Amino acid sequence: MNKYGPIVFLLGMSLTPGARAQNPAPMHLVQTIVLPDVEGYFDHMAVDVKGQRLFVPGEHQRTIEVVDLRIGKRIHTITGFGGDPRKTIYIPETNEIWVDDGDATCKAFSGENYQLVKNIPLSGHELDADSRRVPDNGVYDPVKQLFYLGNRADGLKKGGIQGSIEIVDIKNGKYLGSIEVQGLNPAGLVLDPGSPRMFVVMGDTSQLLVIDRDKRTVLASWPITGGPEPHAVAFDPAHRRLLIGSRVKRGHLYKPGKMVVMDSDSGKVIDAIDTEGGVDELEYEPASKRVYYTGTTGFVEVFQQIDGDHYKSLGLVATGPIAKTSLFVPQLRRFYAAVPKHVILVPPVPQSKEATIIDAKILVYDVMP
Amino acid sequence: MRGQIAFSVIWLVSLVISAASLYAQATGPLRLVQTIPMPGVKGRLDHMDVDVEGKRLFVAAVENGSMEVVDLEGGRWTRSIAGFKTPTEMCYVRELNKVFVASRDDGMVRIFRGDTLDLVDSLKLEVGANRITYDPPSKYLYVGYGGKLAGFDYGRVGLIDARSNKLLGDVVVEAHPSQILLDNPAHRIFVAVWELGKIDVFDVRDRRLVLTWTTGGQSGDMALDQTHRRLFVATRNAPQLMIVYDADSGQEIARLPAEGRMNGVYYDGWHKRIYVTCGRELPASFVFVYQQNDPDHYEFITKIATGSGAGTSFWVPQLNHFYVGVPGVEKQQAAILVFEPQP
Repeated sequence: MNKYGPIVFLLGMSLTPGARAQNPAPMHLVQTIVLPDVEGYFDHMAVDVKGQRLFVPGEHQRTIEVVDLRIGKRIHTITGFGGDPRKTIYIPETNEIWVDDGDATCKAFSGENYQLVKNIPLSGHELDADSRRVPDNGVYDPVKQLFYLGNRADGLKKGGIQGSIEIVDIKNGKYLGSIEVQGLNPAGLVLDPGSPRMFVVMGDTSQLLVIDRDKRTVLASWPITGGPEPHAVAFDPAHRRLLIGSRVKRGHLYKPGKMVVMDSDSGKVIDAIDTEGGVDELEYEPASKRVYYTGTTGFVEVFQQIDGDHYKSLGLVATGPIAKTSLFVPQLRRFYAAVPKHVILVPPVPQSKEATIIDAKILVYDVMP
Repeated sequence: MRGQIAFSVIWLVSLVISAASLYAQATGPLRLVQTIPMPGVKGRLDHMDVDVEGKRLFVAAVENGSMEVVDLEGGRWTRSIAGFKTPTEMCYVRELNKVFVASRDDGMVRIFRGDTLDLVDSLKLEVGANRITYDPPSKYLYVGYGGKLAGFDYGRVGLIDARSNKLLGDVVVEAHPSQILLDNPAHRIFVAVWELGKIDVFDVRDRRLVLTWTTGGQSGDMALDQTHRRLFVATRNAPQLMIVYDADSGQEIARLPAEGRMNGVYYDGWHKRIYVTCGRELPASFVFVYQQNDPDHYEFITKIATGSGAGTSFWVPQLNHFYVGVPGVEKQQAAILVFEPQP
């Protein structure tokens, strides 16, 4: 497949009404916030509910775009990263934006003037870029105020180095250490709020790791049968279920992907449901018992949980090409999807010179009750 | 000769002007034409709506926990529907034969059949449900709710499909919204954010804030002069003012004196007047009347005593009547005062 093939494929997809769409749609688009000049992929966003701001890491161009959600416009661009910023969190108590940086640091920025206020080296920061692991996804424990970061080793030229979970104390601005894991890519992390357990899906080994985050040890490793390349995970404490977003083949564009339903106490795989491809975000809302499964293949699939073992699709909601990350904000009943700048070409490709360039944008959806 | 005629004309004109002004002084810009008592209705009255064809006035008796129904033709209080927790506003939608009633403390919108007033449906929002506005072209209701009362740092204007009684989504506002005014041709809503003393203007098509400004006081209520694109805002606390803004730019045009605890602002396009009811929970309440001489010039005409604690009111151009809700407090009987504008 040539380099534009996936995009053309996606365009075709986005023009096709969701085949499985049922009415009423579980969410609908209310606003489009254009981010001109932002190039490349976006990663995991964060929100300031009170201040109505969205923080969008432009991982490729190494910025965080600050969007004022009231006026629907970008109001600031945070720069100064040594690597790719990927997982943002917002701390309302201190009005700070925290993010991991691909140069093996964790950084905090003032939410008032966006100046760098903390720059915390992670493990291996002192090594050269070819030898150090790269933090990617993460999860925040608001009770203990600890930020856990999945540190990847899959891009290293040197072999034999495993991934890790890095721990940053947000309250005191300190690096606390790391948990070594078997495997290269701790791609998705979620916490059990009722126990010290943390669940981590390994994108390269297809394992789910159960970690005791107090003791910093791996308690168990369970195979994610039917979901070979897991990249996102959510936890439903009420039904003791892990909902795992898996890609089936490498890359972002192979479809279908899988939503694997796993018993969080035994590791037993209950189901592996066909869904969007290239998953990078999966969120579960206990109040509505809905799952928001964001694929990179142009759609979000919303599932209604019937019970712990059964999930019904409420339909596909169109986002855009390579819109791999999203954020559901239950307090606002809003869902945000980040669509990167992309090029549309009409086949035959690449003979066609008439390329349409579509600016990056944030799509704002109202989530229907 | 020509000079004499000119002088006579001027004399005649000034005579007519003084006669008119004398007449206006004698009768005032608003004449009380009726008092409709509502015995037994206790406490403060909140907002109202009218069924123009059926000649019914609906009144939210916020402290009495009821919706009061007044027959405007017969001048009689005819019905009291109990069972609300601090009802704040009602909205009668004739084309759907429904009355929507918002209640602040339980965050409910209850839906009644418009003719029989039987309860047919209800919708749970959040605590703080307050003002309701109906938009006939879209058949959407805009309902203010949320904010501090509901435990949030922000408020909401909910969009409800008035046909299905379902919440469709929200406009997120910085704090609890009070009045919501529609600006249909511009696809906009004006939202008074009283706690912050702000007026926010949203494009309802994409829920985007397109304009915002501060008023210098608690901006609780407002009225729109669609023809001249003027927005009238009264403040509830010091400085107590009625401020005129350009509705498209938010630029201040004029500011005039008002009094405390106002709770109703209306624009009477027939007589080019603005009515502001002041005195919610105060011993003496008034209607302040302002004349719009032209879109940029205004004058305070007079204030008319209404009773004790009467803050809310409702202007119905189709009936040419201005209604003021007088609360049932201490020895004062709850009543609706019916005023008729005078030329």
